[in-house]
Amino acid sequence: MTVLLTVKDLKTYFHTAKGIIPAVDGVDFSVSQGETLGLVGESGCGKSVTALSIMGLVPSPPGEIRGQILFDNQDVLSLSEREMRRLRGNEMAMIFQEPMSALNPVLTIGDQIGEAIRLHQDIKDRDVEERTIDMLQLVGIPMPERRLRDYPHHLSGGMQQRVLIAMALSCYPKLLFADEPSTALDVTIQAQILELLKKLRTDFNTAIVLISHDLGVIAEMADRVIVMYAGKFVEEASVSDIFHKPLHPYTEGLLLSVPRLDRPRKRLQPIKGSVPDLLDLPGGCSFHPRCPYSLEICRQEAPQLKSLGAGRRVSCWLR
Amino acid sequence: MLESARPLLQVQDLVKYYPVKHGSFSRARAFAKAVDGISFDIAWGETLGLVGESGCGKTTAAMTILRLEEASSGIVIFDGRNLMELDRSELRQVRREMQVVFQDPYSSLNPRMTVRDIVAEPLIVHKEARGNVLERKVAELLDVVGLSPSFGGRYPHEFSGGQRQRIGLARALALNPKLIILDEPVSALDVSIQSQIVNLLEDLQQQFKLTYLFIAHDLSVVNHISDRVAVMYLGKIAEMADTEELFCDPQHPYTQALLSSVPIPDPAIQRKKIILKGNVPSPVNPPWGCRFHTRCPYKMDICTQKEPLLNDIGGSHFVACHLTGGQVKK
Repeated sequence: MTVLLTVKDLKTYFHTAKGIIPAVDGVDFSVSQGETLGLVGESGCGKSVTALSIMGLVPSPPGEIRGQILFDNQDVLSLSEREMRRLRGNEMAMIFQEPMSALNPVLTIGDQIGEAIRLHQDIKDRDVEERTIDMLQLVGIPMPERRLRDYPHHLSGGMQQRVLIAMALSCYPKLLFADEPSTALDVTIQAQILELLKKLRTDFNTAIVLISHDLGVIAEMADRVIVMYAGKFVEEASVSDIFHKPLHPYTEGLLLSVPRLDRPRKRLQPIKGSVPDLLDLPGGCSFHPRCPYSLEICRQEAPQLKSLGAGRRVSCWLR
Repeated sequence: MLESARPLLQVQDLVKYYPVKHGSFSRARAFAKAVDGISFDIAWGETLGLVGESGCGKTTAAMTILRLEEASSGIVIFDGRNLMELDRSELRQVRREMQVVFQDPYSSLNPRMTVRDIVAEPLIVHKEARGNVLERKVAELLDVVGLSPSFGGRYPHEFSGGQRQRIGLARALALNPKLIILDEPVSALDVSIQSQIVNLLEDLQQQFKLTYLFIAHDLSVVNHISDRVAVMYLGKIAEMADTEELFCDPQHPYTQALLSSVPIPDPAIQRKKIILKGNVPSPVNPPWGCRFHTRCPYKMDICTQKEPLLNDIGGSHFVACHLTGGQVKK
């Protein structure tokens, strides 16, 4: 598989009145063509900021991005805003959790998708509408000709998410960031959207970075999984290793804490405490105050993300 | 004792229609049938899970049971008293015994009140305690929900989501209620915090012999915490049974689709999903006959004409579907 995206030592810090927030604190990873990478973690762990940093959507100031991002052999961080705009949309695109807040309420569906197509493709004006209808059809919106003149509020949440996916895919991007794409939706609608994403993966070989806190969604969709905690990667492995042989206590804790439909009911085993404040991170390993196995060294020194071979990485003193 | 023989809560044919107006001065030309005739009981100490997708009427059901919204018709009997007949002061007395905890711990706590004041307020309003007794009671309540009583002087914004949900629970527990309606109590919380609150809810139920109406859309959580589950679709109950029975042997096509759609956190399990077509129809114009027929994979002619009734198919397993209608299971 060809590597599409390589990220090296990415750091995204936010300068605020209260201090510097290390939202993403030195992460390395790559994404190959056609693969689905799951990015898991709880709110504030930096999974969305990682995606936004690569998309060039972190406002600066207050944001400050360091490191290297190579997309298709282009150094993304050195691109001008104009070049970046061409890359974004054409080559990589993003869909968000709240479809309603990502759509413009005063423009019709047709206008919004049409705009994306017109901006990014060399296409005649009269062909734009036809192309828009094709895209709406592709994402399973019934009677697309009639939907063109609808405004976002005419559509249900599931349909709005489809419109966003249609927009994101209108230029056949090589990489799609899907940030909690089904979290705001009901389960039966979530199932529809996940099916749609799977279809796009097979039909267009689109690489997907799927960001989610829902371990079920990750298990179903991802080939490979990275677990984030407090701005850092704590574990990376194939989807089956993550779920069947987790090595980091945080990964293990997450898996034990969710109620399961596929197993007999028993008392849940929560992770104690709560996610640390990024402005006031504990010394040593950020997870140590919540870790059931914490050792003296965990308090003193932060572990490095070690490679264990076969695409497996973990940052824990126990391993 | 009489107490245990009689259910704590009996809901009979509860209906709530909202007028749909076009413009402020026009008369209502249509009604949104948010809750359209639901009936169920909850026994003392039991947890009934109420599940369904957004807009199915589960929150409206809770609000009308508490009379925070006036029902269009129907009866709600709480501990032997018909709530629909009570006047304001009688209702206030009964409300001590039925409390509610909402989904969003960020918006349901007054940001200008300290935690101590939030928890003390119901005790003061109902003249339950004052002075030292009040202070001791507040400290006890905070302790019970796992918060340090020394947090009393802080404001809600200083707490995380899980801690705020604990504050909400402490307040709900203040008057020693019999019933707590929990409306999506863990949906806004992170995975690792969800399980802490679920465990706390189980402990509190044991300790204070509480009865829960647990409303949620997350089926894994509902399965975990409920004794019995009712599935709602477009203002009606589609199926209701003991939790194990419902999750192992769902009879209504909607329940089957709902359960098959839940992603399982194990990549080795590849289940066949029943993918429903389309969206939930508008409650202003629900489909004729069975409300689910527009999305049902097993639709028959009768489904478009006649509404199926909620039938007991054996073992207190209720299903509203023509496929099982009239038949007795096994």
